[in-house]
Amino acid sequence: MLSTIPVIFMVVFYILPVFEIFHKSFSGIVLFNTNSQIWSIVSKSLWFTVWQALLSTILTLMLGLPAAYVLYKVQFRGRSIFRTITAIPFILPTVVVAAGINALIGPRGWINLLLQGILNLNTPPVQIMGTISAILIAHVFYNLTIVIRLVGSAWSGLNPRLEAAANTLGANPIKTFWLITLPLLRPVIAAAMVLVFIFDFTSFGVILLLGGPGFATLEVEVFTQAMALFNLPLASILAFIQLICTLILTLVYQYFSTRPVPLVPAAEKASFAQPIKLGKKIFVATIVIVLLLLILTPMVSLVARSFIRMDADRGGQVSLASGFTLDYYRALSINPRHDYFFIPPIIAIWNSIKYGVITSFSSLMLGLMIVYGFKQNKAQQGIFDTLLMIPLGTSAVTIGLGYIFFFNKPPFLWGASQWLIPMAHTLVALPFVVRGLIPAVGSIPVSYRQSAAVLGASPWNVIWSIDLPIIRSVLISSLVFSFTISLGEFGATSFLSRPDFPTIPIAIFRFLSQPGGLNYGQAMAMSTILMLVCAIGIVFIEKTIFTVQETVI
Amino acid sequence: MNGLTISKIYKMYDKKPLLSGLDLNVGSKETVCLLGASGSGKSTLLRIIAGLEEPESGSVYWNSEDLTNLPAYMRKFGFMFQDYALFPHLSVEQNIAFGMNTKLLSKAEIRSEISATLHRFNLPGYEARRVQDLSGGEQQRVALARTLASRPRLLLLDEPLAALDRNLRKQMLQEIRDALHEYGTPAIYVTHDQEEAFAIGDRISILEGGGFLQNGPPEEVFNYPATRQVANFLGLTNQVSGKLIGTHPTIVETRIGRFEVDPFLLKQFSIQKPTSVFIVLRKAIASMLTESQNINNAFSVKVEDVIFSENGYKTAVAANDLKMNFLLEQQFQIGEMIQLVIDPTNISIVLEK
Repeated sequence: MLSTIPVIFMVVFYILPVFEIFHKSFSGIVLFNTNSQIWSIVSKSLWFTVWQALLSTILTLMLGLPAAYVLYKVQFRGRSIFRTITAIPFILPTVVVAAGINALIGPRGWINLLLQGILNLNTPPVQIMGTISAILIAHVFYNLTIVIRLVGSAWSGLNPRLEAAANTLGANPIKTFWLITLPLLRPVIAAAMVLVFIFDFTSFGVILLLGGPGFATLEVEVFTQAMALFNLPLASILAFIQLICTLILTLVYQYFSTRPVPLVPAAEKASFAQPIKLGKKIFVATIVIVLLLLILTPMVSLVARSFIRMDADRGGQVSLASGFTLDYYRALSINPRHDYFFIPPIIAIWNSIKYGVITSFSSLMLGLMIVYGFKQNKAQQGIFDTLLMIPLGTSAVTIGLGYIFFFNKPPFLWGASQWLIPMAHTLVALPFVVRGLIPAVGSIPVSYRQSAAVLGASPWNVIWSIDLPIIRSVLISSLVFSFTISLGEFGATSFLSRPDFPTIPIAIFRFLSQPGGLNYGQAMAMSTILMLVCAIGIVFIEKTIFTVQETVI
Repeated sequence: MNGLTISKIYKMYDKKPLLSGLDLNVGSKETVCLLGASGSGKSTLLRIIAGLEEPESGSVYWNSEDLTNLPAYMRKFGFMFQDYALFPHLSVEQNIAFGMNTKLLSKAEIRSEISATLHRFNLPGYEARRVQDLSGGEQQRVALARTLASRPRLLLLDEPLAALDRNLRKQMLQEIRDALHEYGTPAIYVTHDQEEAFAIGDRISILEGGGFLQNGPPEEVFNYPATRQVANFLGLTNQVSGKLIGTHPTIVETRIGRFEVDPFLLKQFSIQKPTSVFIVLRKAIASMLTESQNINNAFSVKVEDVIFSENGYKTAVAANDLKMNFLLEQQFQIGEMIQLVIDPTNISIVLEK
């Protein structure tokens, strides 16, 4: 009974919309089957999607592996703080990352302002916004955490006696690494690679905001075709291809993530700490500095740029009106032109909070219903588990497109409803919530429930008085996590949001796409607010989130 | 000195001294057992000898070669881990070949060596098997084979039987003994189980509180524990305090009577009488109490508990407030008064500290 509601939710908010894309794309293929221009768009965006994802993944791995070693295998002071810092980018919304990188290396960014000031130039010297470099930097920034966390935790948990055994059998450290450590970590490295590839493959906000018009992944092309050119059949063909690719990638990921790494039992995780030699010290310091530069500078630039005016006055070439200002924050709540139709940006903040609260409660409720509804039946649980993994592999853009198709026709006609937004967010957050709840609920010894039952507690009473208090911290982190997912969600929202109900990321996107110092400043101010909320979230749930993360993905 | 010599090894753990200035020598064909409770630092000492951990100070020598700063992979010692540490991504054959591959042997030499080793350890036909699919005993044999196949000059074994059940443990203990004798490899065997230690060690070293309490052949350690701690550790808990009042014969006066004791240890320490000592009563012969006798080495006790075991009846007795346990051939009734007689060879004397 309990499981009926999640099943209905999944059917209405996932399966039927996606089937609608299937349907539309097959009629689209029939429609376009002789039009070669269509296929050149498809193949061009698919090719770009694949090679940028591959390049981003390789770069992420090249920095991520040494970083994983440093942050998980070497003991040094401040290590846990560095670990937390490296976790921040992953939880940051794409628009914030884009805004941060823009604030650092964009035409109005710090580096350019600095160089213009020193070299006395009129045009920004660093022109990498709108190039592949900006996209690659953002992708490495974004996905580094995945490699560090997945590989690092496996590496630190790797039974140290295996390496010691190789040592005593005469293998030197390099040989031991190649013959023992690397082969043992191979499944987790492969899993991290595939996962990073999936995220780069489905990258949307970063490409849209940093890549400029020259670059379109499948996702961006779906958005352009559907929302700008209203070519829905082509958009659905692209979404269909995207869906098939991500499904295959998700299966590949599943394959690697289920291969075990020989871990030492947690109980005897005694560290065999060795004194650190000078060469290693230099290596550690280099990696830490690179990480700090990569991760902190965009965020610091973003915050600084939201408080400091650095623009030439309108029309003025020489004088810079620079200095500390709160104007960008103030401007968020006022209507500068007293425009009747103007929606002040502060409304976007209110909307985001509203959708976030709905998302976190609905995904937690659905999650609990799934976990408890299918607890009795292992077979059903397995099926639903797989079913849940699919939306995780489905891009948010695909979901957004599916909603546009499905809910704009009878019986729903909800096309203009803002409530589709929290439903899409719930669908995105639900797999994470469920994967966090399953191990937590599973870890409660059956004997607790049995003794409560023997003492006279009804099944509901057992859940209420035994289970929920025990998994309370997981429940809270689920709420916070889905709240931050909802706050930052951009892909699906960009399809579902209307001018009269924007969210924070949508407002930032609009500010960034409009010219002028005030718009830029407001984008920075809003991104700073969003980043702050998400950073508070991650600090709050740092402990539990990555156990969730690692079991989910 | 031949074989392994360690000198003045200091090691801190959690800012407290774990090993404080240990010296030990292992001869070229000898098996030494490090016996100690968990946390006594015996595994750490083994890891220091292997080069897997660095001591704060102290040295490790092989013959006269100083190994202290030599990394583990150059020491040519074998190490057998408690969980065997078999490489899960390699087959049985590849595991056994691992140590040989690092030694620049020819392919043919390695092949013949592997097949001989597999044969020696009763593992023919196991070449391609995955190590995860092996039983506990088989994994143990592969680990032993892997370690010995690379012909280490010293074998270090860290509680190798701890993961096995009781019956298998007996069998594997015998296999390790045989292999050590056959390969003629000197060994250090770390365990907390005295039965294992007695079965395999030519010499036992008891480690406690950062130092060695006693070093010696098994019989000597068991029959003549140097301190009460050693006696306790070996399960010899029947201890009575007393005063040494004569040396020819050696007589100790206690509150449950006078005992003539084995003077063995007194030869090692020059003891002046009268001295406060403890006597340790290992074995007793019991009889029904007939009449009150006042002879040496006999005392009467009340039976408090009787438990059957394969070697006799574990009998808990009390002489007033002094509680003791003996293994008796005969079954007595709880509450019965009996007389115990203890042969001087079954009493050892321990200095009070």
